[in-house]
Amino acid sequence: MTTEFRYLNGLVAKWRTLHWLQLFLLALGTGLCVLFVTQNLIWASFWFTLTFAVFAILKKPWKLSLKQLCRTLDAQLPILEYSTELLLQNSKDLSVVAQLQQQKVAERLGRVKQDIRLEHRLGLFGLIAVLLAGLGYGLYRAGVTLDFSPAQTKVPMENNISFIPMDAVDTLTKAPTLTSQQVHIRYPKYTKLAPKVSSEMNIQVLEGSTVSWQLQFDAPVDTVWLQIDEDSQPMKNNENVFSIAHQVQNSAVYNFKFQDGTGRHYLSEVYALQMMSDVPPEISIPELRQFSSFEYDQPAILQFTCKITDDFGIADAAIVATVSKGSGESVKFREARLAFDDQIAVGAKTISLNKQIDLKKMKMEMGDELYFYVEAKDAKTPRPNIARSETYFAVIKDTLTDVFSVESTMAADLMPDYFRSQRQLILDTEKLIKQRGKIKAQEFNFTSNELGYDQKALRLKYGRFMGDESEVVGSSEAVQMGSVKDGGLDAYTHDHDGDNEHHLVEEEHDHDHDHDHEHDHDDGNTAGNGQGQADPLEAYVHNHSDPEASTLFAKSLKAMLKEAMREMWDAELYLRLYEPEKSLPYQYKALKRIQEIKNSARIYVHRIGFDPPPIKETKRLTGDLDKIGNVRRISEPELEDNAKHIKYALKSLDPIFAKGTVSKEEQHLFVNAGNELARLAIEQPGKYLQALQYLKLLSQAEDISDVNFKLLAQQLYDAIPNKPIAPKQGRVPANTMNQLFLEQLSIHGQ
Amino acid sequence: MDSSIEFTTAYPLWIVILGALLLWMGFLWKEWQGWADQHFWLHSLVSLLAVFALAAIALRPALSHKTEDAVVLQTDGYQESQLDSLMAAKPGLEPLVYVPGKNIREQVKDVSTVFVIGDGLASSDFGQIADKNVVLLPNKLPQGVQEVFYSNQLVAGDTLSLSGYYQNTGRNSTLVLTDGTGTALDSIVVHQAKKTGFQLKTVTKTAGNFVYRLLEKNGTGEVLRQEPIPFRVHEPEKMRVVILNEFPSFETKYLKNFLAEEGHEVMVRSQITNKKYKFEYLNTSQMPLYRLTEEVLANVDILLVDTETFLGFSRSTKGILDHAVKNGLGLFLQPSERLLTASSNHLSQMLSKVNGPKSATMGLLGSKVEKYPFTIGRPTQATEMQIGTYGVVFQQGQGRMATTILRNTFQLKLKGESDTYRQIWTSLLESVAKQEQATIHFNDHTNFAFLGRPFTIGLQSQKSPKMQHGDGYLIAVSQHPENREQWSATTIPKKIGWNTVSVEQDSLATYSYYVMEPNHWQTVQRFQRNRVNRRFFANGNKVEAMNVVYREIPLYWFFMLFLGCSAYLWLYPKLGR
Repeated sequence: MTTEFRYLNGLVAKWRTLHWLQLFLLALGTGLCVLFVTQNLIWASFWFTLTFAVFAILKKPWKLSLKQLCRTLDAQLPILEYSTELLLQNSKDLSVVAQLQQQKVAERLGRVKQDIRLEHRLGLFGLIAVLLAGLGYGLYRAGVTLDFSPAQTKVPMENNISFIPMDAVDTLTKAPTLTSQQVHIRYPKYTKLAPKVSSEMNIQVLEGSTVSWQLQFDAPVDTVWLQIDEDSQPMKNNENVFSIAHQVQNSAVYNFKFQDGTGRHYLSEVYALQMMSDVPPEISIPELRQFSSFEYDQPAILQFTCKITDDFGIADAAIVATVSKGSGESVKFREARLAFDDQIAVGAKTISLNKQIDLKKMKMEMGDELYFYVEAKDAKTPRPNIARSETYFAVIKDTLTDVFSVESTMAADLMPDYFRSQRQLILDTEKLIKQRGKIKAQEFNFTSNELGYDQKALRLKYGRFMGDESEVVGSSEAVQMGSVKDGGLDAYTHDHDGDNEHHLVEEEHDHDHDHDHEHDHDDGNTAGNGQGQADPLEAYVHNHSDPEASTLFAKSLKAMLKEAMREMWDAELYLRLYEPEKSLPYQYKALKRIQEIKNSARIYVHRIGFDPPPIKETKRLTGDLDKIGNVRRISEPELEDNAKHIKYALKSLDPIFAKGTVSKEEQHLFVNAGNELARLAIEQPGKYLQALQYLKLLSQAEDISDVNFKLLAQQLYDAIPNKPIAPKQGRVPANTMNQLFLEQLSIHGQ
Repeated sequence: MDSSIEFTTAYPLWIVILGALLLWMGFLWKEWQGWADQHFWLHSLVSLLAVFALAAIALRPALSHKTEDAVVLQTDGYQESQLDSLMAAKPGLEPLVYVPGKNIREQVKDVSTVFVIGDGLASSDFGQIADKNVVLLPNKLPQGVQEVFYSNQLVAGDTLSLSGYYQNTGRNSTLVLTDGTGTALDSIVVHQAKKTGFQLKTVTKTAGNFVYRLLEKNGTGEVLRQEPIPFRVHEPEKMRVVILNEFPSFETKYLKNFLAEEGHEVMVRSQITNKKYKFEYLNTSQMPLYRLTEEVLANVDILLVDTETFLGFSRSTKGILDHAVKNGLGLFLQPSERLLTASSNHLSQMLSKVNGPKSATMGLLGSKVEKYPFTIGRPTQATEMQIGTYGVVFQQGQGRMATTILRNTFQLKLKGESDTYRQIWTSLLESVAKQEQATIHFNDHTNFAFLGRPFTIGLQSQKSPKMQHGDGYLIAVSQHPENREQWSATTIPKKIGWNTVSVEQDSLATYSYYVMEPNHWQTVQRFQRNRVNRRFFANGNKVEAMNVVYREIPLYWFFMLFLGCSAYLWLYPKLGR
């Protein structure tokens, strides 16, 4: 290999190096920028490597070849006559002319070595690197940083825990100071929240979170305690780093106390640990009416969309449906748990679920009712929060809804109108009677007639259920009796359809016929004319031929209804005759009958769960009270004063301030007062922390010079609730003159 | 000669003259030799002169002397300009600086007129110039509180009501009542530049000694002065309540629970069947309640009975009840239609049946309460009073009887309107409750104690009290000359802050008062002094144009005379005739 060849090799190596250096500078600038911004070496290294790799792939410095170099030299140095590549070849392989040219180029190359400039942009890349680094530094100085570090937290000065010595201060010995304080909050797993680290000691955490404190001192410390509510727990010591964990189940106030190597105690400020609860999910079903009803011949489909939201994720949702069949005491309930049509995305914070309920597919019939509500559970562990929506009602209307039902089964009052009608008629009639003389006669008569019409309408309604289609019903017995008696041909006819068939049996007649008169007289309708004997079998036989018996009701009920209608007929009569006073008694009787009907249709079921003891007939109603004694009850229901110790503490402040020391009993009092105040501090965080701090000092420290008695008194007084007005005994002097005066007053006052 | 002689001795004149006469008679008897010669007469004259000198020494004669001299007494708050103009108007006027308590009799004994400028003298110094012609030239009083009234002994839950008069010279001055640490409790803006009345209120929460502040601010909000308002709050006394019912009722149930929750001792007897009762004892031990006796009623503060029980009392029970009420028991009749229409003189006069509404609207929230269809008229006699518009109370001796036209007040509790329920029953029961007769009762009116100045404590006691200060020394107590049960004790406080005095009789009664710096309540002190001086010196206390002064004749003259006469009488026999 010729010298020139070696020289060219060296040049290409240098050229490649320059290109690599460019990449290095660029990557370095990027890395520095990231380092300043993130303060994290790992991230900086990563970005350095990434930048280097990316640009290396783009620029490919390793691909710089000798041929490229030669071309560059040829372009740069015309003196080389574009023959630099000849230097790469073996002279033996060249022609003579080529060899001559080779030698010429070699010689010229040697002369122009100093003029060779390799192409590179090192300066530019260097400048870019400097700019990037400068940008990073500028961002760092401006405070624009990204904290990727999970561990180290700088403690802002204002969050520093400050400790106050509890014992008499020895100014020669320096107290240990806190070098690092951290609070780690680990939220429950189901929340999927990342752990949080902070140096702020007043914290708000979710219920169930685990809070860990870490304190580090600059000097050896014997023990550090965490005093939370009434407990005082020692913290674990790991090479002068004290730590403790606590699971949060309720809000509390806490502070730290430590003992240094010389046995002196120090107390920190009081901080608030506020617990937030995981709220249950919220369920809303817009566009669904609370009461829905469907006709029997229409599709009974309920379609709705339910929106559920939760703060930390929903675990489950379902529809709890209850179908009721029947009414009154014979009602039956069937409960079912229905799933939504859509899949529930477990863990989602907001979900929208659709559901279509076909009442007929649920085997609901006319008159059946469906009650349902949506129940949702969130992801909270161990016990999830369960929320319920409002209850929605759906019913398939019954065609017989206008038939009077003796009981209401639904929450809404669906008493048939006519039950109120008779009462209303009575009220209106009484009102009309009172207005007699005050209104015009024409108006009076008109109103009376209207009431008569209403009475007729009511009677017709009842008549419908009697099976009667005509108005001629309930008429006076005299009319019917008359028709029976007037029938002159009865003696000569076989009247098997009438009411008096039993007469045929007894009557003797001389015409002969083939009929077998020995009928089984089981028509059963002997009550219609008030005569004859009851057929013993009539209660057990279906009689479809007799219209009189074609009613849903039992025979006695039918009779009562007939009587009611009869009364209504008479009431209507007098109303039409403009004599409402005379119609009133009939109206009352009709109402009474209707009420009797209502009561008679009731089925009384034995009450489950309570069996009263059987009454001893021998003792009942004797009026013997010997065995019955007086009752005595002693109790102390005085309401507990939640600020009792606070009041005592308030009273004690002045004497303690005057003497400057606290006795053991007073310390115990301040502990109790602190506990009472802590409950208030939890409800109103931040308001009473200072007072709590001072109470802690008074209850534990020997040196109370740091206590601001004035502020403490103010906050304690604020904490005492206002006394509600209550009777109290007055106090007057035992004054003879007053007594004489009052005696004279009462004498002369009589 | 228009001068006269006056004797300034405390001895009565006739005693001295009688004694002198007897002495001279004795001397004459000694000198009498059986005849009256020249020596006898000479000796009698000399002895008369000696006796006369002795009598004069005893009687201290003073000669009257006309004078037109005057002094000007410079009391606190006087203005130089006023002094200068007075001196210019009356040349020869002697200025005299007034110091409270200092004796100025010597300086004023030869003057006829005393001009007083400034706020005036302390009332204890009035006697020093009472016999002079006093011309009062008071100042115009500066801006500030001139009078303040409040009760300094309260019970927890009571309202501290501070009222008074404020002399306003600026516009829109503000008075703020603050607690001991500066939290504002109530305030009022005084708009007009004149003397205006004010009232500030706050409700006390707990027992103890408190020192609130009254801040005066001018129109720009600048605090002109802060004055202390010391007062003491006592714990409320618990009452013993007995309820007798013919049958259990909701009204009684809720009432007894309300009273028991407040800590009062409640005993309830309600009949459940014939001669069978249910006894309930809340916050108290058992006590027999079958019959009402004097022993039982002596320990009861309020007795509540329903109509049936009340009308069913036997004559003897009624007599016992009447006697107990006259001795202080409070009797509350739980009303019913029957009671209110019963032919009772008192009730029938005061109540009139109306066909009006059967409910009343009460309280700030307008709570509806059922009531009997009665209205309460105006009280007809001095012993009958109204409790709002829904109750009446009658004074019977020391005790009281009351009833109400409200019914079913427990509905308020059910509706959640407990505040209205509390107000109603607090006013009803407090109007009728037996009042505790304190054997020692300290006056609770406004009374400021200043360091180093006499402070008078007033108290009422049927027996002679012995008062001791908290520091251990006794304080003398003086009795009012006319009201034998009214006492007062004056002490000079030695330390600032709360001081306590105690009086022991059947029980120990203590009284706490707050001693403040003398520079507090300056405006009130000045106004009071000003007013007292005006009243004293303007009500004819000055003698009519007295310009005569009496100068005592020096006694040594009489002594010399007595010595000379005695020497002559003693030496004469020794030296011979």
